[in-house]
Amino acid sequence: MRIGEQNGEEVSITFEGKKLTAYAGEPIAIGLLANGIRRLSISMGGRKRGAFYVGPAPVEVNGRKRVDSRKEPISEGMNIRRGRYDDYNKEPETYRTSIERRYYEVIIVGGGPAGIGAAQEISGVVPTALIEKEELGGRAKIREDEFFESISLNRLGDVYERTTALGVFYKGEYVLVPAVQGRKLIEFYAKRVILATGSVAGTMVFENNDMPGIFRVDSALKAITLYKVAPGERIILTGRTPELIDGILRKYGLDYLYVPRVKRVEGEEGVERVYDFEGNVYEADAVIVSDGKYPDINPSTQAGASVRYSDGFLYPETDEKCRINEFVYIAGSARRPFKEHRSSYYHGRMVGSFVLEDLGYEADGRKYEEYVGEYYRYDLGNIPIEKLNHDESFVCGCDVTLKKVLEPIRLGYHELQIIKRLSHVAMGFCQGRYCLMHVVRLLHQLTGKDPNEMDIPSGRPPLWNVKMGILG
Amino acid sequence: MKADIVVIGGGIVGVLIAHELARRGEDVLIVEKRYLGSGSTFRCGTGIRQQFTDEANVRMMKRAVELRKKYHEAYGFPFKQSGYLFLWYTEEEVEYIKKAVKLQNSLGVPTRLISPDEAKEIVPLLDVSEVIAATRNPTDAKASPFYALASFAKAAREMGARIMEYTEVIGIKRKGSSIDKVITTRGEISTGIVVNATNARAKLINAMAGVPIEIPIEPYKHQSVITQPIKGGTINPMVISLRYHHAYLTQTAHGGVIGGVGVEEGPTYDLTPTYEFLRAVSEAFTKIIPALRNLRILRIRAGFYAKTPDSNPAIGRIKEIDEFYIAAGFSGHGFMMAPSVAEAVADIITKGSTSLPIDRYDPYRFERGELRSKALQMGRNSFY
Repeated sequence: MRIGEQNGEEVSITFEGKKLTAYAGEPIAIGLLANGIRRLSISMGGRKRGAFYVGPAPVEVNGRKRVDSRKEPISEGMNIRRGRYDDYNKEPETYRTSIERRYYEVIIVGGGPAGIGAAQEISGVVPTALIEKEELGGRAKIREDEFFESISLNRLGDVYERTTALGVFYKGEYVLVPAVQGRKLIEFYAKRVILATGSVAGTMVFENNDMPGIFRVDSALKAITLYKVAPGERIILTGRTPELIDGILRKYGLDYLYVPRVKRVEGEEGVERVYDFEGNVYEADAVIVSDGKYPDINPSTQAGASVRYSDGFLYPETDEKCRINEFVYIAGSARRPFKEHRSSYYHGRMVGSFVLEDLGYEADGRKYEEYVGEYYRYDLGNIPIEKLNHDESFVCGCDVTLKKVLEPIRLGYHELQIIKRLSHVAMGFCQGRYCLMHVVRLLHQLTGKDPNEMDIPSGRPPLWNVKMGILG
Repeated sequence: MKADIVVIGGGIVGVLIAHELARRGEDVLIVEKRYLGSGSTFRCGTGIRQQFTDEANVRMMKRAVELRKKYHEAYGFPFKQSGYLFLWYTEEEVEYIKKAVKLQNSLGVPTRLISPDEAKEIVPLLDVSEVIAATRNPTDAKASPFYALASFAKAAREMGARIMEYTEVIGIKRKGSSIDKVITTRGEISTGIVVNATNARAKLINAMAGVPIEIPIEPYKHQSVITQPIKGGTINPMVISLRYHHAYLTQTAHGGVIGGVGVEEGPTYDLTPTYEFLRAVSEAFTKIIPALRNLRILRIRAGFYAKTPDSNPAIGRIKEIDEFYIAAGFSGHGFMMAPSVAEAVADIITKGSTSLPIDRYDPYRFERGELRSKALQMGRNSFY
């Protein structure tokens, strides 16, 4: 259902032989959602999947397989069919156009409020690059955050949008951050790097939680605010942090029902019914899961940070200037999951100041401290394993069921690193971003092990999946 | 704490040695610094090859395949004899490899020299435009290091072996020429027999025990890549192309393409994945199979090749110490060789000798200056 004025021209597309109307430029998955189509792909394990929770969302477009329906913009006449996770194109079609090398004093990875704050603090003093894999603004933009909308987006240094950083590599006095921009490979060198890579949305484990019609909070926000398409007409909101989206739902006049904890969803092509643990059944066509925000620890750990646990989340260990070493700083929700985007912004400014100070400039980062507010504190949370069907509840979008994770634990493997390898959890597309916390919870629940005693896997390059043809 | 035999190192070699000793009724304890498999086993390329160019290695690998097959049937871990496929690009290479094929055939390994077209039938996505011949042994194999190690560890435990993880050995106490105690971060273990199965860290353990000879095992960083999963059966064999950065690649049971190239760094204990590898592996793989251009890389990771000067391991008893054994320096072949190594080491501990050809791996050969011909190894700079 469309809920506002659309950008772009109205175009005709075909999906599985059926003519539909959509808008040019919007992602395929959004255009199809607006037409009530939620089931787009089939997983490796043969499960029906949509585009908005976990796992990739491949479709076939004009005979080309494995097109990313979350990113590929719609154009006139597109002929779209459902895709499979294991599809690939036999014709080599991915070629790099060029390699460039750029030198800066400071590189900031992540263009959300923290990255923007850091860039504004630094770019007037030293050459700065701000790298963002999508568009500037991050979560603040898709939440239409008032504070964020009040700051002007100038004095950011050189901005590289739609540019995906591959990792942090140490090269003596310089740090190399290679990045992919379209079909171009850019090797960024700098003296200091700020990782402002933000947080990831918490997911939940319940029966059929991989079904089309289930939304991660950030996917739902994007659909609503960027594309003016509603997740559904009968929305269930669940999880411990409804406040991350309830304001937007109200603002756009979208009715929803808050169910703190979902036990099961059912449906043919996607969600039709939702069950809670009290025996209530709700008719619904969309479930939005909003269960906390967690620092995305992968970029920090890839860069060499150690991981600690407290207040319900894992975070990178940093010193009093938010450094993990002499070269790399962590700013914003990549370090602690801030409640307000304002806090992330000022934390970014503060870290920017620390960097300037370390580079020999006069700066006082502490002056921003009073604007940096609270971060989320939760308990670890638990998964009601005794009440769930273990074959139908998914810990991870790569077809890893609750059963697959519980098996090694029950066999006596209490090392997270081993459980990971035996169950294949945290080894797929998301690199553990949406599933690792569930394993931490399960291991704690079943063995009492303190998360700080767990051997947490480090992020490995590339930080986000990129195609071999761009690097080769 | 007490144990008759302490195996230091919980990788595939240590676990299989303990498994074999426990099977023979020995009281054995594994001490592992981190978690089982954390050194190199869990980062290995999954391949099990018998196509070597010397008799001992062919025989050891052949026995390893037989044993692994037997235990795959008993324990159920994934193991698939999908072959190795070597691609050759020059007449010189083909002449050299013909001799190796003859040797392999004479030892019962059914390797065949095949045409580029036959190679393409086996892996249709291959670019064979520069390939002039290929060698294929259909009985070479691949196995999941995770499930294999876990299955053997479980069976070893059931037979009475004990395993201590997150326990680092920090000293070895001797009484004269005899082993007295192994000192760890979690207490002392009284024992009379130590097996050094630490591969990349073998030198450190040798030093702790006062091994009086020089066994030059050095750690080198080798990396591997894993891509998004694609349809199962797309790349069945392990494909080897020495021309393109000594590349090896195949598909895992989960569907991802896994493999590596010979970008070697070291000696070093650093296992940080590098950008240079990311580039080199992408370059080589997309030459061998152009369609891999379209695949997304999920991650790269690094493990050790614990190398000796002739790329053959050091396996045997150190005579001057009562009793100290070494099985280390596998130079990238530990995962494939482990079952027969375990049998040989258990033989010499329990019976004093073995019928397996481990003379080639004599730990004293370095001192005596009797280096062996190089084992055919991926990730060297030259092939001959």
